[in-house]
Amino acid sequence: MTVETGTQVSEDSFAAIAAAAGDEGDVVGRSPWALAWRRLRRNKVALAFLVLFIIICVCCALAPLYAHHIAHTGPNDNHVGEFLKEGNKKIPIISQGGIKIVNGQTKFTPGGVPIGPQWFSAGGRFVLGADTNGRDIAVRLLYGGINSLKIGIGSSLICTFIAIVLSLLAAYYGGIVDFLIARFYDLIWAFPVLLLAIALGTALSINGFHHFGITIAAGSLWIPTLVISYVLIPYVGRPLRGQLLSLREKEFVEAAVAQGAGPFRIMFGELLPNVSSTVLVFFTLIIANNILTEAGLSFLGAGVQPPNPSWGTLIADGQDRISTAPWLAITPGIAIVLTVLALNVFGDGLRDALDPRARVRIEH
Amino acid sequence: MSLSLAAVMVLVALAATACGSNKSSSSKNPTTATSSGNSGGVVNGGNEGRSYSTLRVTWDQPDYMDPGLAYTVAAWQILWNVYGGLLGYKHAGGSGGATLVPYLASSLPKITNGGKTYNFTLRKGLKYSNGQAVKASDFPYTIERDFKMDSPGVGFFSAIKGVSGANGYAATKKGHISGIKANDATGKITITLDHPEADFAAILATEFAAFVPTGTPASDQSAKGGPPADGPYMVKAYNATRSFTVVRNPQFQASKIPTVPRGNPDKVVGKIITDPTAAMETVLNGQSDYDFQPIPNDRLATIQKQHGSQLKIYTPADMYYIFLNNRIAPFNNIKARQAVEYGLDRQAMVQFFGGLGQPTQNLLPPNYPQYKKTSAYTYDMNKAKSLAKASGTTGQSVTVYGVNTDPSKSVVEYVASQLTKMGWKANVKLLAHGVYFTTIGNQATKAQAGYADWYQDYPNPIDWFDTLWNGNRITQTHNNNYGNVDVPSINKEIERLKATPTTTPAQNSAWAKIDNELVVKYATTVPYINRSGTDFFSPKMDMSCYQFHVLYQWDFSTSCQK
Amino acid sequence: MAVFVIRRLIGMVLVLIAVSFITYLIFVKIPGGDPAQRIAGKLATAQNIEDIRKKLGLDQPFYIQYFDMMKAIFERRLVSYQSQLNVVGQIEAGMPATFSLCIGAGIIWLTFGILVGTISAVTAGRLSDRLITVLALIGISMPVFWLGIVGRYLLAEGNPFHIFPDSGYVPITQSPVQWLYHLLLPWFVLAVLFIGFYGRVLRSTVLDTINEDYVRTARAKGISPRRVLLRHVLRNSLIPIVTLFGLDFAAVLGGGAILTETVFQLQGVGQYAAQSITTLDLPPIMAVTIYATFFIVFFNFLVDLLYAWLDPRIRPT
Repeated sequence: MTVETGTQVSEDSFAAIAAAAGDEGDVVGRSPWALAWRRLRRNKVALAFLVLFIIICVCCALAPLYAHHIAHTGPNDNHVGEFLKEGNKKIPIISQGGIKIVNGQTKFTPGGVPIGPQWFSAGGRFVLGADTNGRDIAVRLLYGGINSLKIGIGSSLICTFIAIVLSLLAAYYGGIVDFLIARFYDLIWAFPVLLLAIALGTALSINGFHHFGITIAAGSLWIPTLVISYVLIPYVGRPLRGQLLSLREKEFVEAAVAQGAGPFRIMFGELLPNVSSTVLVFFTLIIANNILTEAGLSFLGAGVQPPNPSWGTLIADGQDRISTAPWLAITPGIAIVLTVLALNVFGDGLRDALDPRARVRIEH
Repeated sequence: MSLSLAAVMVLVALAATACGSNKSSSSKNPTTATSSGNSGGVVNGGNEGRSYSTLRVTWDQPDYMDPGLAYTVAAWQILWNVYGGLLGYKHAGGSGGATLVPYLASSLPKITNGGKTYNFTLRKGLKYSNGQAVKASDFPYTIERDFKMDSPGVGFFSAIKGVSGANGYAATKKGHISGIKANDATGKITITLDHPEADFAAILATEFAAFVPTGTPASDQSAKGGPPADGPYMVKAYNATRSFTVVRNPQFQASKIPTVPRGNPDKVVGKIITDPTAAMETVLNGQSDYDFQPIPNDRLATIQKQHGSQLKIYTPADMYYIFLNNRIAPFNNIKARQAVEYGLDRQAMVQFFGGLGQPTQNLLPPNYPQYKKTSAYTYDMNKAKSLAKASGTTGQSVTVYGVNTDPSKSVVEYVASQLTKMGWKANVKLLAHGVYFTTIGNQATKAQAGYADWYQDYPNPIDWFDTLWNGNRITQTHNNNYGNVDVPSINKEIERLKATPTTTPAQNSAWAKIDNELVVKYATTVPYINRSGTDFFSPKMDMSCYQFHVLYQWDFSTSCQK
Repeated sequence: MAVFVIRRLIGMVLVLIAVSFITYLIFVKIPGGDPAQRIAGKLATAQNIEDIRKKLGLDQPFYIQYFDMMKAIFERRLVSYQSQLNVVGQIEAGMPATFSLCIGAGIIWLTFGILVGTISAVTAGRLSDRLITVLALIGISMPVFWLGIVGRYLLAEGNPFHIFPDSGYVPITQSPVQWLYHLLLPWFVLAVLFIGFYGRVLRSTVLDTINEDYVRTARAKGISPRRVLLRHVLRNSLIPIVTLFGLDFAAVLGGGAILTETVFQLQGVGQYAAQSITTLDLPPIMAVTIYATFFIVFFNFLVDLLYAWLDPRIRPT
């Protein structure tokens, strides 16, 4: 899916919010941000989910502590061929099978099934079980969360930033600049998003990027981050440009020009503040979308490169073991759902408070 | 040949010397002991004459249905019952299957001129499925067609006189190959080589040398079900990604080719499914009688428990190894390489294959007469760490290359994790099947270590040591010696054994010594598993007929139903 | 109008050229992707590789190679480096599965989306609305492939509840019943996200419309609530839904279903695209990109036309 076309986005969100606020009979004289915060504060559900999101972020950020002090293993450390002692039981972390030829008969014992969730019976080791390489799933889940969140938030920042700059340039200069930027949006818009993202992700993860004086290593997290931000630029940029173009015609901009304000001042001092509420809503909802896109890319091998975990790669790894070790694929999926849900609910609340008509179409 | 490049094709050891070990035949299948016994002229044991109407199979996607181009076991397993050359393999289970027998030729070749000239006479009255007569001149036509199509098999024929060199047929593709003479009137075919080549008879038995009628276009004929057939079956319909139908070749006369059985099923209907789980389901839900694909690791235990009698485990002549680049740091240091030999738990690595395999420290597979078991290394991380430290290379970064699917993915991640424990900074780089081997075989990649496997092309240690570890054969691109293993004394020994390719006990032990020295004395390469495969059947199939061929795997022509 | 259509058509062609050229550039310089080496196989001689390079035109400058490749696509003779199969033929072979998946899922998400959205709006604030809102939010927060994997594990053959077949596509010509049976699960998996999204969009537009003057007028005139809802509210609220549907349907046809197809092994165009990309097989990547872009651009165009027709205030320029 895509971000809504410009015609459907409110032309003057500020007016809309002011009007909405007026309906509730608020005291005149408060800043629009204060009004929005007031509205948001009343939305307990949205705030609860914001707290959930923050908790998830904090948990992931504490991954190294968990790994070191509780699980006693790193995210990429294998424990194949090792055993877990529980009481006086010795449980193999990966079940040991093999082929033996006895009296001309081939005897086969299947192996390779990882240990299941131990919860807390192993003193914090393998709380959520192991994967086929004997790695601690709980540790990988937390480290994977770091990568997924880094990519989701990072790509949203970059994408929103580029979209703001391009749309401001288009709105301020108009003419050929606007034409070129609009065509650039159209071009990326016309690409099948997922296809483009996978293509770029795959191509770049083979040898990295070494052009224009920029060097990105093949396994770097920057690759999925930049790929996702790049393919989603028009999804933020298009509605933003529409909004800014109409703002450009407003009197206060004319007035600023008449006063001799420079381009930079007008773009960032006059135009940007008037779309900042929309930008904030877009930014929140785009993070949710980008976490899902990252998962899809990694699932198809075009995102985070092994052995490094991300929620998407963890699901991909688990897919092959869904019958014997369903927890491998299910747990990272739940992590994604919770995170994205938190962001969506909070984003909704934010939108209701700031800009009730901004809407992001999602693509994954 | 690498599994990932050209899938699987297998040939077990020479029949003559391997017969003593009941291990090699039994590891394929205990029940073939009776059916593959050397019972005189009977080609396929007691299965012959048990005709039935339809065999439904689920198959992997073949690369081509054209014998001149096909280079995967998914294609060959079908095509060896469709196209035959002058020579072929006996339709038998166990080590008997490695025996070369005359197919279109009336007898095994008369080799003269110091091993450089091969003389054949064609059987009389043979016809292709389109009714055209099989002629002696079809042979040179077939080989020349391979060259014109840039077939992946042309490298096999470079020893034929008139092929190599600036004016050779390989370069010009004009006129004819001077080393092949064929007389349609007498049916005589004479092939002259530049130098003696021990494997040449086996090369003539490959599908690349299987006859196609003169006039067959020098382009892929798969879409038409391949060129006209000369074997017991013909491909009637073929849709590369969906299905194929194989029926009896009406022109095939079993009485004229006693070495090739007429076959039991009248018709083979194949569904092409690349996903192993989906392929397995077709057998479970009764839509299919045979699953070509391996049972996914995830389902092995359930299938064995619930359908154990319909599941066959076979062990082809293969070997999986980790190559270490002997030319560049850190593995140009023998201590660093020894560290890896000690630091990988081979028994544990078998688990990445679902337990389907046996750990190994040999380069040759166990079913070889040249095989002499090596057990020099036991897993010891402390020893590995101290060796790594002694090499003075710890702290350097190492990139381990691999294919991006399992088992390679798990293996490579494991190796990287172990290298990290030993003190290196290990990274992983996973690539798609299609580009992996050309990438690591390119010196510009500078791959320090990585995943590799080998399934032989013909039953000779030359195919292993000369192709994979002869330092004289290292190339800049499309190198098969991924680790750039280059031990002068061993290169010399390989060249010596290559020139005198007879199988004497002395030579067998010479090969065994090379095997041992490459792994123990020089620690050049880390072999770790001889992998097994699965064949899964519906209850409709009579498992007592199961016959596993050393090269072409399960032989559908000798199958029977209850 | 005619000028608008012609201008848009020219624009579509330019976009297709630009998109295909960019895709070409992304893949053309990848090491290890040398198709000649790949085709030549392991016994390849330098001679052999040289011959194949020449045959494929790989010795030409890259823009000529691009031009040749595009020409080969439109002359239906381009073959894959990996399998040597005709790429246009392969795309055509995959289209029945992709279209079956997308059309079925499209019908489901449109029907359920409208139903859910309307119920939610009509009962706004009540329990059913809240429940729907929660479910819709969960629906749009799930990765589609994860839902597919879990759905396949829980509901498909060989697993706890054997309701659906495990995977694969059965052509409708072969067995309509099996076709339906194999597609039901993928349809719903693909549709869940859109149902959630459309329901939410429709809910808010319906709520907006209910407060419009003409609706109040209609109600004041004593028209029954049901009639007001159907004739006045829904009719106008559906305009943005129709627009969305056009764009989303195109996006799904043009590669949006990659993940669903891959999870369920449907062997459609999306799965073909994913496989081609992971094997760096340029010819099918080019062909699939053009195919997918065509749908996206074409449906964008249709939506614009439809919009102009539905809302005469918007003059196509």
